[in-house]
Amino acid sequence: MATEELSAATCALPEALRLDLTRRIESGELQLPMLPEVARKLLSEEFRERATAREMGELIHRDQTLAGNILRVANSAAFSAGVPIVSLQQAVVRMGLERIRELTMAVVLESGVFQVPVAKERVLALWKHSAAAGAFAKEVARVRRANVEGAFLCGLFHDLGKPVVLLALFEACKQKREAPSEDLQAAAVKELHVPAGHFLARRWALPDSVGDAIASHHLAEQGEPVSDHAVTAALGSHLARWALEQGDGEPAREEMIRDALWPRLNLYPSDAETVLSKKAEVVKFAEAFG
Amino acid sequence: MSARYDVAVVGSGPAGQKAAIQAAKAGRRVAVIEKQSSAGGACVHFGTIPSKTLRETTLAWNAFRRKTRETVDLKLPENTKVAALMAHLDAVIRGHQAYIGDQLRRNGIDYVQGIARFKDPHTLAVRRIDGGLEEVGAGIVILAPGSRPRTPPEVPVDHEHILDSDSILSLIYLPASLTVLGAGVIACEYASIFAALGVKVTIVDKGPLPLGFLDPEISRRYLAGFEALGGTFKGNAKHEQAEFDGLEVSLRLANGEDVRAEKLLCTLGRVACLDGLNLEAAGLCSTDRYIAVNEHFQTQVPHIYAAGDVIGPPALAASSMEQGRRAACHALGLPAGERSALTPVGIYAIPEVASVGLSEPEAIKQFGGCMVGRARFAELARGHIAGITDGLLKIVADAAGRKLLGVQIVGEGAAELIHLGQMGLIHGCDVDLFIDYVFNFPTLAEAYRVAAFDLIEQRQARAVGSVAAGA
Repeated sequence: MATEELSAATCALPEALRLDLTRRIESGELQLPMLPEVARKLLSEEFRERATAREMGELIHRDQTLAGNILRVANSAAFSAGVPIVSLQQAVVRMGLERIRELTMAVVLESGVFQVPVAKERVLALWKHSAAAGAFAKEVARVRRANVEGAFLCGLFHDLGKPVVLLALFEACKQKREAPSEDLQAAAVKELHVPAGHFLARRWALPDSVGDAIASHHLAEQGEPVSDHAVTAALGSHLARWALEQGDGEPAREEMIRDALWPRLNLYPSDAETVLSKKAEVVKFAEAFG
Repeated sequence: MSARYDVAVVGSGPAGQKAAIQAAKAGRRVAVIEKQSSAGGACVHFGTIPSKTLRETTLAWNAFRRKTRETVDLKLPENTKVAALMAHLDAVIRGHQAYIGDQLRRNGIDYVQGIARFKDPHTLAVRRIDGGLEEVGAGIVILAPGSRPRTPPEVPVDHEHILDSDSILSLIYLPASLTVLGAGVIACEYASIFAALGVKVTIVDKGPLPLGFLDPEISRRYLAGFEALGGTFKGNAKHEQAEFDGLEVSLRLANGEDVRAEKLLCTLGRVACLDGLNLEAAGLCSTDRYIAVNEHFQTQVPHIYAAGDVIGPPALAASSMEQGRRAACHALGLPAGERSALTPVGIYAIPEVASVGLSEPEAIKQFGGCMVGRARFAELARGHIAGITDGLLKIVADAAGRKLLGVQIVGEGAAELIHLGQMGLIHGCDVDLFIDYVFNFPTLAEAYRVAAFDLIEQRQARAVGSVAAGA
């Protein structure tokens, strides 16, 4: 199932299940998994001992669980000095490479990575999509001369709620010893992924712009007046879908250039061409650990 | 779709606005073609207005700290959001855009959003944001597309770690350290603003002093102020390569030194926005960086004019406005008034710097000598009241110490104060003017009187010396 199909529900979510999922999500007990390959790399002795700042920086940008946890700890009372940490780069500089190394190890061990419990292919696709959306959102911000680091986080986390909802659903169904149907998965994701993502963003103390992008990126797609963060995240998501799921065909490319979100950011077809020209780099980034 | 106008203006920055308004006021049908959805150009969106807004907040913050330091010890928290420091920027920009937009509408000027490209000397093809095309035909074309930062290949600007003056204010947090490459106006403005906000700033430049085009005494004063804010200047330093290493940006110098900081701002000049204009189709050719014009801002194609940054220095908003107005006047055969060579320069650094007329070295070069009067703001009551005691006003007079030739000022209020000197210069006044008339007290303008007294004292001392020598 492609990432877009997760939102295409054909059945309604039963009220009791909706309440159960909401309770599970808000309990804070769900632990998002990490990409196995990212975790493996972080655990490897060579990486632990010799990773440069650049390698470490690249790695933490690829995995939303790792990125979110780094921001959560960076924003904790022990580190933040009362002022929000709003980018991964800022967190790396403020916390120092050694502390980031320790923290990434702790996240790997906590994340239950070796028990990627459910719908592994789907979770992997979501991770790839979020990494690509983040990378494309960065390119959009570059062209606009807007903040690149903030745009990346908005793209990376815009659908943070989807894996959380899936995880909660599989947990709920585990007790009944039955896997949730495709339709039920789609219904749960459609109904709950925005509030779930927004809840987690608040819990992780992610920047306000990220919470805003999570809450409003679908409204941007509907042409509603929303912030540039939300439009950038939505555009990053469209670009990710184009790059990862729609092949190299010219019609898809043309359609992407005509996407109605570009003018919302005062971007011209020539700007769109510039962003689309980064496809190979973005795909390589998103698939490096997939 | 095709529309026909008397005058088409490409760009809506200071030069484009004034050209369009002048032409519309003369009763002509005018279109402004602009890439952005609202008028104002880089001046409003990336340059003058945003940077001055940040500077204003910084000054207010520093003044508050200075005036309350006996009672509270205030410090900006590390990682302060830049956006929080520019909280009222959106309101400032919206206000400015609304005012410019209203002005264009009031004058019946059509606003065409798109990217212009010459189809022939009288026709511009405009690529709309939705990808569609329309044509604008015009008897007169005034080019005012502005400029963009120059980014040499050895400084790979990514707008993330290595920024230019278009992206520096997109930062969402104050970096712990910043390298500023270049020491011109934009460099020195941003360097001092960030230093005043507590960022560890290092300016790197090939020249021996920052603001090297100014009187060295003034440049040294700026440097002293910058260093007092905690800034460092590395002069006579040739850069080789900038690179982000995953943690910091490293700037390698020719002497082997490695200057490192969390972010780097590249300010190595600006280049005209000529890409895509297809000047050849209009019969125009450009120099490497700019469009060549005559004294009326007319290009080699008589009905095409150019004004503002696109024609090169001084590339100041104030001079661009006047160039735009004059271009429209000449194109329409209207009198534009006498053109003054006396353009004041205002540098919105901390401390502020301004200059008009000749500097001391220029006067010596031009006339073989000069006499200089100085006033330190520490000698002014207003300076003490406002906590501005580190300023300097310098009056440059002829060798006899009488005729006013120029004024240079370093210190808060310099860009406003300079206009008194400009008026004196325009009217060919003697320095005695500043003594003969009463100024408000206490004011910083009193510095003119103090400097004039200094000159008159020197004049009298010289006269006494001459008499003594003659006796």
